[in-house]
Amino acid sequence: MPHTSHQPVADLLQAAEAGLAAVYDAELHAHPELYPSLERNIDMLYWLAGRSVDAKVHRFEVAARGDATRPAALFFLDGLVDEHRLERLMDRLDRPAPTGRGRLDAPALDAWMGRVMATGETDTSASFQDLFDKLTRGQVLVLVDRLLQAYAVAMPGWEHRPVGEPQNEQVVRGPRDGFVEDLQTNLALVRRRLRDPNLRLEGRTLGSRTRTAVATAHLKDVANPRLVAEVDRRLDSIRIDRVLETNFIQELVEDSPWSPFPQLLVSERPDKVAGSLLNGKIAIFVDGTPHVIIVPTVFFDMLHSVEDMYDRVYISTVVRLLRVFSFIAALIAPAAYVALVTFNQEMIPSELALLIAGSRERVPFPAFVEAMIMEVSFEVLREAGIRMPRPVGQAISIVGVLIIGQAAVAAGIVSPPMVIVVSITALATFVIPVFSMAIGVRLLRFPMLFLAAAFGGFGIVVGLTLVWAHLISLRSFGVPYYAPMAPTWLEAIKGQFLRLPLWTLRRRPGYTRPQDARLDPRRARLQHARDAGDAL
Amino acid sequence: MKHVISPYQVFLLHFIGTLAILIIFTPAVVVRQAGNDAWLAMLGAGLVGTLVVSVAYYVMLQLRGESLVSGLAQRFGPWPARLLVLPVLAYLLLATGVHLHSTMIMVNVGFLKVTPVAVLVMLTALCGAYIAGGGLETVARFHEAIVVVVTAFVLMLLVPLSPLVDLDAVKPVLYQGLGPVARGVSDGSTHYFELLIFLFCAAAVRPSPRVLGAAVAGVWAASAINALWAVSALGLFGAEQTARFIVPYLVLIRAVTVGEFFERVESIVITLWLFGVMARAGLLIYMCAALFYGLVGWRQSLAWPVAWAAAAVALIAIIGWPTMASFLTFKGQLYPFLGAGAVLYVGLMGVSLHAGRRLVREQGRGAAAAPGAG
Repeated sequence: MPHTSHQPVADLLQAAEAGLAAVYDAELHAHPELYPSLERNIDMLYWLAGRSVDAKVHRFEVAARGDATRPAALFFLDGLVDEHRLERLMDRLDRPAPTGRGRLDAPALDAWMGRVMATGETDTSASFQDLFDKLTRGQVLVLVDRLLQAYAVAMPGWEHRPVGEPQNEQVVRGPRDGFVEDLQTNLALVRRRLRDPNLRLEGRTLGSRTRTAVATAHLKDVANPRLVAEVDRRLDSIRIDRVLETNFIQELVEDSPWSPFPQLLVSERPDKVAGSLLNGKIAIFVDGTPHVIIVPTVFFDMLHSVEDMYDRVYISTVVRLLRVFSFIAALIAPAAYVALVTFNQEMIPSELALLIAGSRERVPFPAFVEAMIMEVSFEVLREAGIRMPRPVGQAISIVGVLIIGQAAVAAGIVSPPMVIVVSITALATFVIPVFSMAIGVRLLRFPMLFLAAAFGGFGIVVGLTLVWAHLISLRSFGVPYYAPMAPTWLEAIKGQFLRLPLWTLRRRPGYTRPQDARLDPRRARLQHARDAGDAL
Repeated sequence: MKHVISPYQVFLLHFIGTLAILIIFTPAVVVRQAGNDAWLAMLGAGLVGTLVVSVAYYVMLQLRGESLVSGLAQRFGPWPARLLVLPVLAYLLLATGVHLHSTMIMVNVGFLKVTPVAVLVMLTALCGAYIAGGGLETVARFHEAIVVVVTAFVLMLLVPLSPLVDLDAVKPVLYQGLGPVARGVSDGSTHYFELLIFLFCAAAVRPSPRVLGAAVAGVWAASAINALWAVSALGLFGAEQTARFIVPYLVLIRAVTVGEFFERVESIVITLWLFGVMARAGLLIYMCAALFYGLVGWRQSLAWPVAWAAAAVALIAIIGWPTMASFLTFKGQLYPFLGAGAVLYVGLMGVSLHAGRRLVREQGRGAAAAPGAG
């Protein structure tokens, strides 16, 4: 690197800055709480904010009856506070406010602050670190000279997306609101649905650098206290510098992070979260993401849509069974085709076998290679379609489907039945409502293909046995992942695997071991009421 | 004591595994002995199964929630206990090897003629080890999960065939008296001795009449379905022809058609059956691993004993069993005697544990009654 004439100056500046940082660090370590001097406090907070351009100070004086005044200041981070509310606050603070009996002691200042902030959340703290945390949460600090604590006024006002329909969990029937990136909004969306005094919302901060606000929600009289304690324990044990999305928590609290199957459900829908809380589960909210984690989760939760509960019973039950079938098809359809064509041709009815043989006549590859070509091409196309801007993504889909598919068949590289099988597999994958589960299935499809190509139907059984045994051995926060099928909970099968009418569901799912397992018996009475209506 | 598996799971452990093994072993030999009454002999073999399960339950009661090795160690000391369980371990390893070898021979014949049996055995041992690695809880849940598959398998063998079966072929009942049926029971009960596995649930279930009832119900359910299949085979092919087949049910499966469209469904049926085979392999490997675990005393994880057990049974299935097969089964018919011997041996262990406990009780009472005691 060329040595410039500015280099020594830059080095000197860097050394001076490092020295200054060391001084401030030592000072903060020695004295973590506010000083009597207003200027020193402002300087320390300014340093904690990294001397950033968005750190703003507004000075004013607190005046008492008579001549007593004290210098004071507002400290806030620009962009994180509501400008209109801040202007109103400044306006009120700039006007000399009488503070009682002419003294400016702590009780008098508390009373003054109470009058200035007639409404809104006001908090006090003496710790620099705590005050800085408050600044980052959109609070405005009111510092007064010779006062060993600061007032923090909540005025969060950063820009965020309005509540809208969730992109990944759309429904035909049901509420259209979805979570957003703001934690308070998300908590309010759940609170609106659960006006139960037993709803507990507890907060904590995770991420040593991101200082992300994380909240948990559960129903105190429903959720198992041991489950609540376990969630708290796992969250408190997290040591990480960043929590930018729910996955940063998910990977650290999951029972088996190496598994291809997600053991925690993530949802953008407040109604789904509320329903889960009513089933004795716990929700984990992370500020800055619209995705909320629901624990514990079982395998069949991954095949549910919230809409199942809003539709007719028969339709929902059939659709749920269809999703189970789709899961299996997404996992083994290409493998089954390869096994049938390669090993077990006798299984294929004669006319169909002739048809397939005819269509494969020109194809130079064995069925396995054909399947791999199609599967890999399809995965590439799908990934490209997702990453591209929406209009281009649609164009890529058309290119993929019409040009590559048709051209490949016309060129004799793949046979039409293989295109059909791969298309059905892709459709089956899209039927799985939870994206992370669908990814796991996509991943496992390739080893299944290998096993089928090597050992036919036996290979598929080997693959399915391993996948099945893996699913069964998994746990989500101590709850068996394959519940309610193994171990069997008949009552839970009625509502979790099938979708029987509401009045038949007398208990919450047993695998969450809820405190209050019984559902509202009035549901059962609705049936009686209906019977009575018929009689009349 | 921790209640790891439920009575329903105990039922399935006995039902699914027994069904998976009976389908390939019992029919031909039993039909050879009992002719048209083979189905009765298969039901009768259920009695032997009940007896074996009862012996295992008796020993389980004596163990009082302990595993076999630790229960014996309390009575005889650690090293004699290890020596005492060695024959049981040898029998279980052999039984698992026989299971893997025989079932994979059937896969080889019916499915994959080119693939070497050794490869199939290794893959099945791998699956069994993976299931067993999760512990008895996972093994039991795997049985629970495949109930749907097993039900489909049973129905596919019974429902499409029922219109074709001529029930007159199994009449008259007992036309040669009870002798052939008794001989059929004797030959048909070979694999019921493997139900000693019930003993290994000792540390996982609270022994109770309900648990015993679940195990016995599992045995009888498997026997009843086996008898129904035998009726189907006899009704379709007759006793003479059935006795000539090596695996009559494989031929029976080939007779199954679904509508006019699916002419051959044996691959589907064998695929469904294979899940039962895997479940049984998992259970047997778990039992072997549990004994290994007790013998060597690995403290941390079940992974090592499971790996050793799987490797040992694969080795027996690939090399050991084919070498011994002619000696043990066809010429000397020793394998059933080995099974019966193992049951007797374990029963004697139970008696000895019971006697030991009684001795300790009497000594305690004597000490309490001695002058100056208390």
